Amino acid sequence: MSETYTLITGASSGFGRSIARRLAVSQRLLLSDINEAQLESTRRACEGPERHVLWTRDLSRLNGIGEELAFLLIEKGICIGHFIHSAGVFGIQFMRANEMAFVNRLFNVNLLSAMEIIRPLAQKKVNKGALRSITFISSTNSRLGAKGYSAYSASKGALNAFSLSLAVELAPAVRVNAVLPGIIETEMNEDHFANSEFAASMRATHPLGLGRPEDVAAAVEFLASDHARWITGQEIVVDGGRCASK
Amino acid sequence: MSETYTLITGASSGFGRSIAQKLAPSRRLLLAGRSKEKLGAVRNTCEAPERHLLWVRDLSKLDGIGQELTCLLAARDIGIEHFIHSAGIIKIQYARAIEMASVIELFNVNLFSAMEIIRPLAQKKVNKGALRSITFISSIASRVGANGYSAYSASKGALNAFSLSLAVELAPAVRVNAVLPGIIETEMNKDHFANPEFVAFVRATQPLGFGYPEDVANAVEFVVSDRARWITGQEIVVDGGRSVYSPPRASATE
Repeated sequence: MSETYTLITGASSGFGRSIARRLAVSQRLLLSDINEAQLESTRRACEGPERHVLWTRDLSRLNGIGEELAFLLIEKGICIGHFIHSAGVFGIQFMRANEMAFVNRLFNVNLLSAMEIIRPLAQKKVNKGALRSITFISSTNSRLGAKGYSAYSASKGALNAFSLSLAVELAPAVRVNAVLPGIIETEMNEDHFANSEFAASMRATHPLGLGRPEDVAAAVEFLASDHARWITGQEIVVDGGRCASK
Repeated sequence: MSETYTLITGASSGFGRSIAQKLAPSRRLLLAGRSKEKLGAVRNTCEAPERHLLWVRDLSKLDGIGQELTCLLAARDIGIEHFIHSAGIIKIQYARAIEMASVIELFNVNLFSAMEIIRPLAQKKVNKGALRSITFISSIASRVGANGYSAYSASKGALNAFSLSLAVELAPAVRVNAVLPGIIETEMNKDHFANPEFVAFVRATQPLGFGYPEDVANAVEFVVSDRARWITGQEIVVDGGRSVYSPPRASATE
């Protein structure tokens, strides 16, 4: 049988990069993102770089994602045991000025590309029944609203519900869960954190203080492991207690 | 602006029709749906049919929805005070065979068309600040999974999260909530209900027995009314207790 890999989308930045570095120690990775140079840099920052494979792909262009992944797996003789969807785009748009092009991009990357990827992974002829877990990186914005966040919240709420139904459909062979990070500094929001007032208010509203991408990576590693063998269809909030303390 | 109306999408059948019949005695309605004949038939079953207007529109075709609604409101010189999004379709798609065109149609009707409608309703120059509430008809499928339902669940989970963020954005003038019906017989699932095993299963797993479209209409009427003036960003589940039910365990202590 082919060798089994863990596919991580959005691998070259933010949570994806932390997840990649954490899992590289024990697994072979298929790292995916939009920029090849950044992917290569992530691979070199991982343990055992020669063990990992790259898939450069813009997930906002839906057409052909599933077919291209199937081709890559067959061509390289590999299977995917774990899929971690960390690719995500974020944006603020007020409903009175809603533009569908923005909404479409959000949904294409955050949700629909994951559907396109899962199709071949769930097909025996492509992935040989190798799939064991799927983990989505969602967001506490699916539970807490904010002005201008309605489309982004919608895309993450969609991921959560997609996840729980998929968990029922793919059981018992495949477990499906979502990790919901709170506000953690990554490239996606570093402008916010550059503002000292924002950073101070973050500390004040988080019982456990500020979080790190490694906190999210640790939860993902747990969910993808055999330690979580009886956990499926769940949302794990990693937010330093913010949601619980409102 | 002369008068304000309640806009109900998906009004020609199912929950939308029941909601229209429930609200017609006390409100002017703008009934939206794909079929002019069906919409007209529903209007005739409503109290004071002459009071209500029709908007024939296929919501799976997103382009122009916002502009057309804007033109309709301007041409009739009316505003929309309450928007109830009851339009919805279902597509059973298995993960190993998902067809993106079908998923996109699902999202167009269930979620994106609502965004296109809300844009003009939230614009002062179009709707003159008349909007007071938005209510989405979601589903317990957003909370409980089933084989083949992942895309449908996703579209309803999207509605729920869209709803809570929009509630924060449009407060305090506009309240935004979602009603989540359980398993209730309508045109959309009547094939399931033709199966006696399914009917028996539904009865056995619903603490309050069968539910009807009127149960959903009652909840929507409340959420839209002034009696719900301090409720926003919420999900109201109307499912006869299905989502909290677990079957009795055979045990010496019970």
